[in-house]
Amino acid sequence: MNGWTGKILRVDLTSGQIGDEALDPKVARDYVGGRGLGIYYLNKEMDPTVDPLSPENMMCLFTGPLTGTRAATGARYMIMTKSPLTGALTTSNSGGHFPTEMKRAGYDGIIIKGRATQPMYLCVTPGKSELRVAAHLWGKDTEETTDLLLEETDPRARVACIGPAGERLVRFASVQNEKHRAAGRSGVGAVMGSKNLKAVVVKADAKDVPLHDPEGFAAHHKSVIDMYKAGAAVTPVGLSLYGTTYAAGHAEKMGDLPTKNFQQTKFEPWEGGIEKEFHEKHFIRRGACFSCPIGCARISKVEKPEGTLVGEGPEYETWFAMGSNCLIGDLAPIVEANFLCNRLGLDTITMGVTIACAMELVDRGYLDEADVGRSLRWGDGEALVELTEKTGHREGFGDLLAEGSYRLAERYGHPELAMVAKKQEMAGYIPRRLQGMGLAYATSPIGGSHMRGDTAYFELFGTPVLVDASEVEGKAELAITAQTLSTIIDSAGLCIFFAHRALVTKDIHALPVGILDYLNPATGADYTMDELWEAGDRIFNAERQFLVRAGFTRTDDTLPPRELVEPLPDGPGEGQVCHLPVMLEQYYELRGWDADGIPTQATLSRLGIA
Amino acid sequence: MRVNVSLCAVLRDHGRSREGDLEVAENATLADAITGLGLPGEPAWIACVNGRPAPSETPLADGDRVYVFLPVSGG
Repeated sequence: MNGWTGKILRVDLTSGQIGDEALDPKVARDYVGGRGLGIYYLNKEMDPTVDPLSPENMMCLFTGPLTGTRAATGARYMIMTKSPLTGALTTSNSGGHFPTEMKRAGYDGIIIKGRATQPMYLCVTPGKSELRVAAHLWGKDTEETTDLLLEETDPRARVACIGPAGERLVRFASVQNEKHRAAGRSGVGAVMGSKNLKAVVVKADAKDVPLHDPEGFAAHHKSVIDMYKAGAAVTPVGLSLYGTTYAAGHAEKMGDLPTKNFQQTKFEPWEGGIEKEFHEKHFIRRGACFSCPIGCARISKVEKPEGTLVGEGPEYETWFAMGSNCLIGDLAPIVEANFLCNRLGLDTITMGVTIACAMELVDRGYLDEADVGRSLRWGDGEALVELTEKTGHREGFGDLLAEGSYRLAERYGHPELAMVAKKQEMAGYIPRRLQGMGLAYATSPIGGSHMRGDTAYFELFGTPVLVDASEVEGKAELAITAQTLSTIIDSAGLCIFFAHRALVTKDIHALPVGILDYLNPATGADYTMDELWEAGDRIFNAERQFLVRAGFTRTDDTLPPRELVEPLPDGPGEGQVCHLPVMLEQYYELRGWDADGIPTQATLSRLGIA
Repeated sequence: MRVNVSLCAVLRDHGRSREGDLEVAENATLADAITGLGLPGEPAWIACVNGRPAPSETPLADGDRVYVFLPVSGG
């Protein structure tokens, strides 16, 4: 096979058995890769009602056919499993270099089952993969773990690992690769921790991935890059110049910056943006994932009395979650807490939004600061850092924060103050302001997430086109477009930043013509645009099937009361609520689901899903 | 009449125009305000008036907040 390697690594942690398995070319074509292959195997081989932290949970790591091919931003993989935070499916995405190494080592995916009796790590090389003792690594943070593993395997290997948070089963623990790149959401790190799997190390020999039509691939790639560079010469690329940090200022201007646990949209300290101050005080240089022309990563620093801390980030999602959403305007503690999340292996979005929830619980008198073990007022950057550290180790109040905002708020009698969908914290977009995002959060297969149907690209960022955020009409179609597109991007192995900007038609349909023109010369699969779009539809419906079988119903496709019934108090969206019910009804109909939100038999048959 | 114009970071740092209050004629449109800024004629930019997407013929009112930006990404 080309693009695809045609090989999957099977790992049974209980028995210690490891072996190669062939990937069926028809399955590959129908499910593309990444998210698609992940859900194919999860649906086929696991019971979606099992305890996510039990040995019966299955974990899939899948690259896409474009990962490692040198397609622009072809650097990504998905970790797919059942989430201990939501109880739903999770599909967590990361870039950097690990996915490329995995692909070049010969594997489209790694499927992990069972549980090891003691801490182990998986070492993958072409022709030989083995489980090795990891007792000496257990308890170490992701930076130290990575350094030690590179020392004992190969300095040019790539490492994906958990930190103390994953080991202690923090419900939103991440899996970090290259230390600073995060498969962040929904607790994939806790699943790894529950399996006693500390890390996966890969070292390839090959320097590339075989392509079906190398010349055709190169020609398309050249035209994509030439067009990108021509555009960048006329208009500097904000993502390259500022990273995602400038989205904070943009969101503030558009009245879409979640502030004070999603209570409001105005955050005065950040009027005019934060990218200038960040670049003056914290920015060192740019970074990039494999094969990316944008280079949005920020290598950054924060000065502490004991020395200078260096790391990567923060991204916009972290800025909002730990900044405006906690009324913290000072950038330094956010940079420090972000670094902590990377080292301990924690999702920054859930961490920040959970702390904001705790701040509101204290503010309203529902949570006593005596329980917290320290003061916890809005705007306290020191509290942010201290509680992040405690959460990563499940220490003191951190043990409660480690459960996520929903379980925390429920414990103190006010689950409605958790800004979640399906128990996962929403991202930096406000449903009352961006109507389509409300629908997207509510119907995302992984719960609150902006990355499984990002209508904000249209409603906030104007990429590929700007759509009125306040409009309700047409948002069901828009959400489906955004969801199908994200499924294709995530299955192909590309990054959404480049795809939305350079690989889709510049209209409301955002057809991924540029992805198609990479996929076909890479794989020889001869997709038509209709077939590729249908594959996206198939994958999304397969994900929905997992949720249905896990016990999710229409009543779970919802948002917090704040978003549904409280009018926005300020900004351009003042007075609005999120009109989810009307959008949801239209959405189910367009999706071919019944009134309970279950894919109909006709829909499943049309898509060839059992 | 007076409108307030703000720019996204790239236009602010790399454009030839400045943010702030702008005096425009009584019947000015968004296009007139943008012309007054000296932004490049090729509209790679997008504009919102008071937070709503606005085509260039949109008539302005005293006190309107105009925000001009480029297609961006977050995450």
